[in-house]
Amino acid sequence: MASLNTLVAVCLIYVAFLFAVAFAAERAAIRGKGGWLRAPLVYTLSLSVYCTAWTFYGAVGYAARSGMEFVTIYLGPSLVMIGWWWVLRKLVRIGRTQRVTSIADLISSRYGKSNALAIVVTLMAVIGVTPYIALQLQSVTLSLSIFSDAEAVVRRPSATAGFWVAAGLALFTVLFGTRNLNANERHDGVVIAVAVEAVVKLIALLAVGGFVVWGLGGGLGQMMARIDASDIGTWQVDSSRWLALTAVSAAAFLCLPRMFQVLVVENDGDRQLQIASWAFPLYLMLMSLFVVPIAVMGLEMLPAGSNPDLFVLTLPLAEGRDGLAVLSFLGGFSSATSMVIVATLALSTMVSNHIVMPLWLSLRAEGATVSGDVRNVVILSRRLSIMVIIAFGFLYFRFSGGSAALASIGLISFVGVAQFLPALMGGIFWRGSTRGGALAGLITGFSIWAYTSLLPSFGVDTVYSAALFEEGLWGLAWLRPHALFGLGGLDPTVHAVVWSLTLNTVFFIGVSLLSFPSPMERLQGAQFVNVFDHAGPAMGWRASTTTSEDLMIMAQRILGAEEARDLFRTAAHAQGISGYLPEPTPAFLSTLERELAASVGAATAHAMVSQLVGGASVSVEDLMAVANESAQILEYSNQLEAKSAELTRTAGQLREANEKLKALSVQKDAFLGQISHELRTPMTSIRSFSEILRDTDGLGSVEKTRYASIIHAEAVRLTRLLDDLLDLSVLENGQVNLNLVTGSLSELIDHAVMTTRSGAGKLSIERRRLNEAVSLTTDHDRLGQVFVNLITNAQKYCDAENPTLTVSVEEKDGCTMVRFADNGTTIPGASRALIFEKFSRINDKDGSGAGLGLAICREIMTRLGGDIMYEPDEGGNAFVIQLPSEKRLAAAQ
Amino acid sequence: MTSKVPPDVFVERDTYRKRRWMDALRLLPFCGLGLWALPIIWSNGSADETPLVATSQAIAYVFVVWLFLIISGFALGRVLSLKTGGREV
Repeated sequence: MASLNTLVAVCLIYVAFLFAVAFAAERAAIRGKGGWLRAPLVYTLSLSVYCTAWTFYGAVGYAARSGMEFVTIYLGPSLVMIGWWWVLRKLVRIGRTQRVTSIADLISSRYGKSNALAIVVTLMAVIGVTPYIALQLQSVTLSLSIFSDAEAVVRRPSATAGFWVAAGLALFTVLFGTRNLNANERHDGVVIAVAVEAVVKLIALLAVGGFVVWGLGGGLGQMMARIDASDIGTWQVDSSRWLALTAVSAAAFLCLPRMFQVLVVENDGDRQLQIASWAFPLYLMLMSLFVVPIAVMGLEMLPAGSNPDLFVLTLPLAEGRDGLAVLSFLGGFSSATSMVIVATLALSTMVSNHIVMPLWLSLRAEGATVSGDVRNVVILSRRLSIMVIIAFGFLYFRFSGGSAALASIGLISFVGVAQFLPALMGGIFWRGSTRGGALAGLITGFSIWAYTSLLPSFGVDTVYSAALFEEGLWGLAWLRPHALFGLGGLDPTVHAVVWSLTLNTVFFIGVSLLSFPSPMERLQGAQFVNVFDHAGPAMGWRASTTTSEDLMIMAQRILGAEEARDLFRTAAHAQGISGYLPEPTPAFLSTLERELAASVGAATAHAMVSQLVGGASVSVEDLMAVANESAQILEYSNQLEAKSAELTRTAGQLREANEKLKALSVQKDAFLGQISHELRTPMTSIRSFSEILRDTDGLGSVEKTRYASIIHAEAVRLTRLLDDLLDLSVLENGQVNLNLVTGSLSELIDHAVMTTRSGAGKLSIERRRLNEAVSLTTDHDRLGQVFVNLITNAQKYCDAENPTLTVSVEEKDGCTMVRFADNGTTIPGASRALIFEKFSRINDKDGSGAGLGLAICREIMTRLGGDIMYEPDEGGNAFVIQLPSEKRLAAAQ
Repeated sequence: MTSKVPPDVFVERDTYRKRRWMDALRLLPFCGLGLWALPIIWSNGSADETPLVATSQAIAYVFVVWLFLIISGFALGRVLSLKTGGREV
C-alpha cells in the first residue's frame, strides 16, 4: 500500500504541475497567444468544476444508499445546458455587456446597483457554500485517512488531518488565485488548471469504473445482472425527491457562485456556450456512467459498515491495485481542489467587492480620493476572505461531525444557493421585479432554508434540541423544522425545497407587485431584460464639476497605473483631444464606471464614481427613454419603412424619366433620319432632271418644258416641306405670335373651302350653316390653316366612291366643336395613335405629303388653347376640333 | 402613433428552415424534462401489486435519454452553425 508520505509527495508534484500549467497559460495570454484558452473545449472542461468530490466520492455513496436517485444531480444541469437558448444565452450576454463579476454583482446591478442587496447575496452565498466546502475537506481527509490506516474505513475522520487539509487548500488557493488582480475578473490560469483537473478526474473515474466492470464484475452483461441482484436492484426512488432534486440541481447549477464564475464571468462568446450545451452533458453522463456498478461491487465485496462514499478508493485498494488507487485519489483530490479554488475565488471576489471595499471606503474620511494603491487593499481583502471562507468550511466540518453522507451535505448547499433563482430569473425576464421584492424573497427563502435545512444538519442536540425537532420552536407545532406549517410526511430535503422556494417566490413577486422601483432600477431592468434588443447607455452622469485628474488618480489605484493611462488615453483620443486627459463627459464616466466595476463590482464602482462626481443622476432623457422605449422602436421602424417607400417611389420616378429620355433619343434619331429622307427624294429628282437638261443635246422644247416643270414642282415641294418644318419648329418652340381677331366661324370655314376649291377633285362638302353662326376671337389665319389642312387631307385620302366631307359645328359643355367627317376607309386602330406624329403617313399612295400636316394642326390647336382629336366614325374618319373658349385662350397667351 | 409594422409572413425557404431548427433546439430541454420525469410514474415499492422496475432497466432508460439529448443538441448546433455560415446562432 502506498504510504501517506508517498501520497503527500504525489499531491505536491501534482499541485506543482497545475501551477506550471496555469503559469504557462497566463504567460501565453499576456503574449497574445492565448486564443486556445478561449476554445469551447476548455470552457466545457472548466464547467466540470460542478463535479466536485461529491461527484467523485459522494455519488457512489449516494447510489449505494439510494440507488438511481444520485443521477438527479446531473440531470438538472444537463437540462439547463441543453436549454441554453432560454436562460444561459441571456445570462451570458448580460454578464458580458454589464461586465458582471459575480452573481451578487449581477443581482445588485440589476436592482439599481444596490449595495444592500449585494451584501445580502454575498452573505447568503458564503453561508450556503460553507457546507459544500466542508464536504470537500471531509472527502480529502477521509481519502487520506484510508491510506494512512486501513482500519480507518469505518472510523470518523480526524479533525487534525482536516485542519491541515484546510490550511493546505487555503494556501493553494491564495497562491493560485490572487497573485494579481485581473482587470476583468477573468482567471485564465485558473480556468486552464480546472480544465486539466477535469480531465484527470474523468480519466480516474472511468479507469476505476472500467476496472470494476471488466476487472471485477465480469463484463457488461454480468454487471447488469449483479446490479439487479443487489440491494439497490430495483427502482425505489421517491417521486417527489426525483423531481425536487432535479429542479434544485438545475437551480444550483445557475446560482452556485463558482458555477456562475465559470459559466458567465469566464465566458467569452455564444459559441463556447453552444458547444458546451451538448459537450457538458456528455461529460456529466460519462462521470455518472460507472457510479452504480462501483456502488454495487463495493456493497458486494467490501465488509459491511465500510463507508460507501469511499468505494471509489477502497475497491482498488482491496484488490491490491495501488496504482489505480493513487490515480483515483488524484481524481478525488482534483475534484476537491478545483471546487475549493473556484468557489473561494468567486466568494472572495464577492466579499471584497461588496463588503470589504464599501466598508473600507466609508471608514476612510477622504473616501475615493485616498492616496495609495487600492489594489493592494483589494488583493489583501480577497486573500483574507479566502482564508475566512475555508475556515468556515473547516468549522462546519468540525461541528457537523464529519460523518454525514457527502451527498446530504451537498444537497443542503444546493437548496441554499437555489434561493437566488427567483431574484435572478425575475431580474433577467421580468422588468417589473424590484429591489424590495428581491430582498424580501431572498431573506424569506434563506431564513426558511436555514431553519429547515442548515441548522438541523448539525444533528440533534447541537443547535436544535431533540424537543425542538419533536415539538417545534417555542413548542409551536407548526414551527417543527421538518413539518413547517403542519406539512408533515415529506422528505426533509423536499420539504425544505418546497417551502423555501415557494415562499421565496411568493414574497419576491408579491413585494415586487406592490412596490415601486427607483429610476435607476427601471433603467437597469430595461437594460437586463432587453439585453438583445438594444444597448443604450446604462445611466447618465450629470455634467460634473470633477476634474479628470481626480478620476485618473482613482482609476490608477484600482486598475493599475498603466491600464488606467491606456483607458484615459483611448477615451481622450475618441473625444479628439490630444494628451491623456479626456473631458469628463457622461459617456466617459459610464465607461470608466464599467471598467472599475470589473475590478470592484458595480455597486462599489458606482459609489466611488459618485463620490467624485457628486451623485449620479437619472436624466429626464433616460426616463423618457424607458417610458417611450417601445414607442421609439416602433417609430424607428416606421421611419425606416417610410424611407424605404420613398426610395421605391424615387426609383420608380427615375426609371420613368429614363424611359422618357430613351424614347426622346429614339424619336430624335428617327426625326433626323426622316428629314434626310424627305429632303433627299425631291433633291434626287431635281438633280437627275437638271443633269438631263444639261447633258442631253437635242431635247425638244416640249420635253424641256416638262423636265423644267418637274424640277419646279419638286422645288416647290421642297420649299413646302421646309416651310412646314420651319412652321412646326416655330410652333413647337412657342415662338409664334398670335394675331387675335374677332370674327365669324362661318366665314372662316367659307374661306378654307374656297382656298381648297382648286384641288377639290370630286370631293363634295356638306355644311350646316345654321350652327356656324358663332363669333370667336382667335388667330383666324392659324385656325384657317388647320381647316385647310383637314379639307386637303380629305381630298387626298378619302377613297370612297363619292367622297363627301361633312363639316358640322356643335356646342358641348360650353365648348365649340367643329367636326370634319369623311366617308373614306377608317384608319386602322394601330395607326391611329401615330397620325398626329411627325412624318407619319398612312395610306399615302403618291407620297406627295410630308406627313407634317396633322402634327402642325395639333401644335396650332395647342397654341390656340384648343385641341384636335381623331374619332373613328361610322364608315369614315372624323377629326374634331375643339375651339378655344375665351378663358383657355387667355391662359394660352 | 402609427400602426405596428406586420412581421414578414413569407420568408425565404432557408430562413424558414433555420427558424424551425431553432424551434427544435428550444424545444429540446422540454423534451428532456418530459422523458426524465417519466420515472415518477414507475412503481417505487410503495404499492406492491405492480412489479418493480429493475435498476438495470432504469439505468438504460436514463442514459439512452441522455445520449439522445446530447446527440440532438450536437446535431442541431451543427445544422444551425452551418446554416448561419459558421457564425454564432
